[in-house]
Amino acid sequence: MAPVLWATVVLPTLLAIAFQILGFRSRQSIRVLAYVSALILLTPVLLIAYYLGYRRVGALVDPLVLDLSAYNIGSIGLVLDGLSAPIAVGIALVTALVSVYNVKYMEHRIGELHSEGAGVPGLNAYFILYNAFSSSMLGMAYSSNLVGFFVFLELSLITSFLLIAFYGYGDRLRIALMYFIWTHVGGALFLAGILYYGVNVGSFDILVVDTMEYNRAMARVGIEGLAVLAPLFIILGLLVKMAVFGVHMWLPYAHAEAPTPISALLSPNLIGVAGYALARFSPTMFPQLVYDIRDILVFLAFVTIVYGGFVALRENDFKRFLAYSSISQMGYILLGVATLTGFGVAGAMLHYLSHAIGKAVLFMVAGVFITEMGGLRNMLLMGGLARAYPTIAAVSLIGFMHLVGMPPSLGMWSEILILLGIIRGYNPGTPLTLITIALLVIVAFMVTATYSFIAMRRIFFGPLRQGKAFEGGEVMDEFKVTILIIAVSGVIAFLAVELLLEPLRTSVSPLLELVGGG
Amino acid sequence: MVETHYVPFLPWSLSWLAPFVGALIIAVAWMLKVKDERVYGYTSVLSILASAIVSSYAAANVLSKGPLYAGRDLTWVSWLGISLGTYYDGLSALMAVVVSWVSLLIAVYSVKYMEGDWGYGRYFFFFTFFVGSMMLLVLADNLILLFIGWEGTGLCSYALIGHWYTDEEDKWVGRPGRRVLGYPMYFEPSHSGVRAILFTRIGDLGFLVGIAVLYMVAGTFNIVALTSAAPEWLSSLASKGILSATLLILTLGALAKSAQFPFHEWLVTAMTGPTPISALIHAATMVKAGIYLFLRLTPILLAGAFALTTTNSYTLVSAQLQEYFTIVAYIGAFTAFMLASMALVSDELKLILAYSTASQIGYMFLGASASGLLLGMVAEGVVSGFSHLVSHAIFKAALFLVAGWLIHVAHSRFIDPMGGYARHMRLTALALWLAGLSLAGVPPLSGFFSKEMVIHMAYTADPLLAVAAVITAVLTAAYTLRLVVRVLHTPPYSGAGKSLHAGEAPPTMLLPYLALALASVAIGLSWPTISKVYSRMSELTLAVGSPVEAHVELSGLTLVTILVILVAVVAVAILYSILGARPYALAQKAPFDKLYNFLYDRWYGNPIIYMVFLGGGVRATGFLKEADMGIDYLYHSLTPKTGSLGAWILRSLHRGRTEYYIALYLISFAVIILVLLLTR
Amino acid sequence: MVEVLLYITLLSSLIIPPMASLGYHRSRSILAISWAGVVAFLLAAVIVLAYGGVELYSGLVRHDRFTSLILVGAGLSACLALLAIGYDGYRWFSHPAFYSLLPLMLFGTFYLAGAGNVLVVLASWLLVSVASYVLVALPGDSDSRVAAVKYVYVGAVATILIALWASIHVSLREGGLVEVGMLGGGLGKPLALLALVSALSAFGFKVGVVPFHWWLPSVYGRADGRAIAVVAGIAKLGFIAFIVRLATESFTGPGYAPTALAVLAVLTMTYGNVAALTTTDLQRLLAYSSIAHIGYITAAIYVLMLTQPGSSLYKMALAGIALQSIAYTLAKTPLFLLTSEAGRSLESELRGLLARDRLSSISTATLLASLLGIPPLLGFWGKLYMFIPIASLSIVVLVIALVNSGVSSAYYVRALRDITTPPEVVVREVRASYKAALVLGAVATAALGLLAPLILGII
Repeated sequence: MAPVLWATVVLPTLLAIAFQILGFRSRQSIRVLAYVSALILLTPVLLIAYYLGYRRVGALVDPLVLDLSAYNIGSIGLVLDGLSAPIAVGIALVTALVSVYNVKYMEHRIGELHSEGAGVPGLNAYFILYNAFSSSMLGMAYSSNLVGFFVFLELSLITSFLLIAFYGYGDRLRIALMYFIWTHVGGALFLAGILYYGVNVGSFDILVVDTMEYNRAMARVGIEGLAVLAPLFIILGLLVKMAVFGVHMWLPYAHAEAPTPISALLSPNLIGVAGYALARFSPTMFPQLVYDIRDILVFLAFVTIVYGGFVALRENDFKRFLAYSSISQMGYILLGVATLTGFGVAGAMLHYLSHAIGKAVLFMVAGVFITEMGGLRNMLLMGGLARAYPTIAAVSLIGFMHLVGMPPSLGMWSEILILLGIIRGYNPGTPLTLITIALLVIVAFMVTATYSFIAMRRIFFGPLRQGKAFEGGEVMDEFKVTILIIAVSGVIAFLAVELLLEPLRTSVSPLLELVGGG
Repeated sequence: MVETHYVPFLPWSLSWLAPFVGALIIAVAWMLKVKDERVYGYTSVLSILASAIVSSYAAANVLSKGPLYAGRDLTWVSWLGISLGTYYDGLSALMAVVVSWVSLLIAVYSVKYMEGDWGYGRYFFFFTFFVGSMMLLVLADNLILLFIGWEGTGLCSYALIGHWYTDEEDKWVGRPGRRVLGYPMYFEPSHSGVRAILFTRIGDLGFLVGIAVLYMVAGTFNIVALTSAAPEWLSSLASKGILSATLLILTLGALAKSAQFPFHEWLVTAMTGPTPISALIHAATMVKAGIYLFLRLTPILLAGAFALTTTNSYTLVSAQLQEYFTIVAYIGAFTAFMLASMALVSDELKLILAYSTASQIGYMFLGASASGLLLGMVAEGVVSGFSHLVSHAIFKAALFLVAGWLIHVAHSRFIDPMGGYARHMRLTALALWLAGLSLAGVPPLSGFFSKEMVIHMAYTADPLLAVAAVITAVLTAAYTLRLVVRVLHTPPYSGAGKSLHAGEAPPTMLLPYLALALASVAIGLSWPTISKVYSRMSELTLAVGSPVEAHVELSGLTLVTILVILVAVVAVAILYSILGARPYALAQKAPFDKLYNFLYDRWYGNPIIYMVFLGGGVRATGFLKEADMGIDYLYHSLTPKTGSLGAWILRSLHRGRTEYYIALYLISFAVIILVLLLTR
Repeated sequence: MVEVLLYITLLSSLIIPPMASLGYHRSRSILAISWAGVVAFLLAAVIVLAYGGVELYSGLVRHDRFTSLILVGAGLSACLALLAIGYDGYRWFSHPAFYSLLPLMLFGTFYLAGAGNVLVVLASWLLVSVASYVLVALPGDSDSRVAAVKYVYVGAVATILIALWASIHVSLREGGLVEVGMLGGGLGKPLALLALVSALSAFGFKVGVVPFHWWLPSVYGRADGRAIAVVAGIAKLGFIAFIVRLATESFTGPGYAPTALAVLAVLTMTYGNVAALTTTDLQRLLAYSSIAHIGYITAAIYVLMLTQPGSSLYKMALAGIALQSIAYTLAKTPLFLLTSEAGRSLESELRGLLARDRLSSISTATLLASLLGIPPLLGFWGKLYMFIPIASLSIVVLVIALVNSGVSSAYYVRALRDITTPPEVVVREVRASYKAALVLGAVATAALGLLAPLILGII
């Protein structure tokens, strides 16, 4: 197999740089760039659908490997397996379609900025950063090595930081700073954990954690260091990245004020990867600890879901509302992972994808209003917009359904699997436990439904508050069609869930051997 | 029980697939902004017709040959063992027939009714999608598929209740401006939509938790497999003592969907939807999903219990089952009475019908759960519930469709401006009378027989329930006759609707409701035959498998019931038409005004719910918002301040005088020497 | 061969003063000669690196891959400095001192980095120190003079201490040997302890290890950036190489020594980062951040003392120190030059550099990012290779180090932000030569960063 995975990571950025150097700056060539990058970024979806889903290949391994095992770093390579498949699909799908979406939005945004007298780099430079950001996220999903994972993590961080700092809204530099510092601190904690762990166990390769080596190391450096401290730092770092309740402070600013296409990548894709990392690392690298703190994590997850949802209900800024909803959604992913059951983890990974689809759609919708209705973001001024934007209203409904977990959206599967995970993990033996679980689940999931449908009403229904109602109706240009495509692909994923679920099933059971799940 | 016939996925699954295909076509047409209304209307009608034909053919086969099982091996999600199976047994086949044909009639009605509406395409998309989901719900062979249909119907209900989402006042429900305890008692379409989806969603989640627990115990979602495994999972749940809890959580879904107390509020305000929707979704079909699920479940539970009779876990299981069924039965009876009492005083045509819907579904729960209380008479219980479901579907659909025309004529949703329509529209009047009497339970209409069976079941199970049922029957007769007489024969109270162009509805609207009304007569007249069909059905129903033994004989109870109903009917008719009574005047005077308002404001159910959930929610969000600001301050104000303080301190150590540096340097040197000397 | 090149370096520095006194002090050849010296030094370093080490003067000077890497770093940034300053030095009253002192300092650095003998240490130490004292004063403005005075005063004490170390070292070696090596009786003796502390404090003075750093901020922070670029950016490397040798050959093995070093390391990095947090003066910021970096390096040295020489972790730690030093010098030198050229206040002079001068601002950003340790720049690999071995020893030190580097993002990124904010006041342009230094530094950092995972093997 050719180094396709590396290609999807490297090519888009190189392409954008090439365009920059060759000076292809015209609108046409930018659109070409956008479409070509989109095609490259989409390839993982096809690979997964064909090899993992249809041919039932266990994992795709990229032949290109940088072997540093002589220095206890292991070999830095790229791999796709059932667990990372939904992540890769989510990133590929969203980044690819947003790449096309970018053209109109960023032309508008950069125009604005220039008229404000801000000397920001042009569309072409934007695409360099954008593609680098996208591919670094893909790299995280592919990474088979902790160091490699961290390198991609830092890359995604710095690129997204620059994108916010250059093209963001509001007090964008301060917010970018905030975003960078907090996530960097989180990253530092994470790095501390993985370095200590990797060095003592003797390898940074995620996919091959040698249990004997682990036990030897445990005997050597003592349990508290290897099995307690390092894992705690890893988990803490990831939770900061994930912005669960308590360490979520940076998210609402960053995701609300980032340029909207970037919000559509940051919010579902980037933070969710931390959840994937948690699922990937914890059950094999430190099963005991994660099993011991399982209840705490589950509780934290519920708190996050409810907290994010409630605060979202109070938000009047559309993008801030979506940001808080993302916090709440991270709660679902954490919940699924924390159950440490096959269903739960699979559900969390699927929920990554369904959240990616739903939230991307919603952020892109917000972008539509920002570009076409004079920067309209305040939900108090919205209402009745369905008359002006029927199709946009329809796709938004699909987007919200992905968050709520209603069929025909992929969200239903993740919701059911997470629920099965909870029941399997906390096998209720008394009426009290059963009723408690039922109440928690109902409350948590209801919060999501509540803010979703109330927001739907506030934005699209009721009498039309402002804006051009019927003059010609909406124009479905490529800008909006991309949103439609993402939404529809969510429905397709709902129907073709088998293609993702079977690989997941085969890869979670070995993953969870040590925590007795699966 | 007769053995099952395995048949291919197609064409047998078209009964639910066809409407989905139709919906897809409509959606594409809508995306392409097709202007021609016929595209939408005809696509919808045709796809539903296909579904109706297939399901009728299937039903005929079932009644003659036995259950059909299509696409059992068509795996969809292998991990969860979910296939795209379509399962026709007695219950589901007949249910499918009823749903598809009623839907077809209402679709035809809608083509004319919605003419020129700005949401025409959207209306028919959701309409058709709804039919598909409903059929899927009915015919699904596993609980997940059923749940998908279930959610689909909920989604369409949400979308169609809020069809006129621009919230013009004439689309509201309730008296504009009326408030109770500070909470408005009038609802815009978009608001009602949100209410509907959220109220039912609570139940749906309970349903989901329930089936998750079942899956963990039984290891399957497949209904047939669950039936055969029933003894095992019943006893294992019962041994943990969570059987009744699980079933109640599961039944939350049914109660919410079928608008039983305390979830009834959503159905009331659902009347903001277009009238055909109220007829189809909120009277004939979707609200029946709950009771349908209950009818599906009850035999499975009881069969499982019977299988355990000899074992020692029987006592546990039966005790917890009775616990469960008692609760459901009383909820049903209470809902029936509560909503009927509200219908007495309401002055909104569709609202009265909505109350009566919830109340009648209460009957169905009562009838079905009675056999649970008895731990026996399964066939009778199922048939009583189902037969009342069918007759209600028919006459209530007719009533709503008539109401649609009357509201159109009167330009008002209130009944006060209506009146004296009998002479303008004979056929409509006939339909209204027939359907009304059927609802009132007057022999020999269908409503009488089915209600009779329910009361009979209730009586055998628990006389107290029977009493409640009879009282409710009287109330039902009263409010129905009030409605019919007020609208058709007495002059309008308020002059508003001088109903200038009052006349018969156009044929495509008239025929459907006329047909339905006549159907309820026909069923009543041919009851002996029909009851044989029902008995055959129960014989062919999963986990029932036995015909109905006990037939409704003219017991004393029956005679009493007939008597009181007739008295009520006649009394009300005379009171209004001949004596021209005006109870409003009475309602203004103390002490009646208290009672009147209490009933008119729906027992204050809505304000209380809003006070608890809305008020509480608002407070909670407010508090959490504050908390969030606190957290933000902690991170983004306190932390930086601390950092800069530290920086200031450290930097202020560098005064910049040379000798001072040398001093510090030497001191540090000495200190380190000392420390090392002491600690080494 | 290597010697020859070195003598060229020395010669170039010696020939310049007489030329000037003969009246050629305006001639362009002075710069050229200086260039010759610097390039010769770089060549020498590269050759040594290529041969994987060299022994000169029968072991008086020993270079291995580690030290030679450091020398290459010094050579490269010396080139950058000379490239940027160009003829500027001609305007200083002290002309042509700069052009002769730069090669001289490099010459000294070569011997200091490779010193295998106490006497060589002393000699080269004095040579480099004096050179750097004078360099600080060269630009001649009052700030530089004041700074120089401080530097010399405190430096005098440090020099006494290194002499103290030397004498004890010799006295403790069996038979009064003068080679750098294990002390007789190990570190048990109080005298040995004195030797350790004096060496440590002398080193700490030179590079700014807390608590011997007191002078550093006000010198690095005040004097002319061009002089500091050389003193802080280049002169330091020799001392780092020296202390590494001392730690691995003389004070090696477990005991209180490594612990002491670890404590100092932690103090140093924390001090530097916290102190740098709020400053809006780029030069001061760089001054404090260089303290922080020395902290990281000291931590790595502490690892060296405890790990088995030749083990892969040991090699990795060495590689980490080397790469970190190179990343450090390649970033600091151009940035100090920038402060002298474009101004030092992030709020006024440097604000909005991006809008005016994309090239140098992007390079500046790259260099800051490398100092912060953003992959794939050189700084990241340096930190990574230093921290991995630390991880094998103590998670406490590791976490403190990493949290420090996390916190450090606060001021680096703020500097970045100020550079990208729209300007308010009209500001000085960055001249081509300085811009070139910045760009070359950035390019080298990025390129070496991409190579780093591969060149790890050569240690």
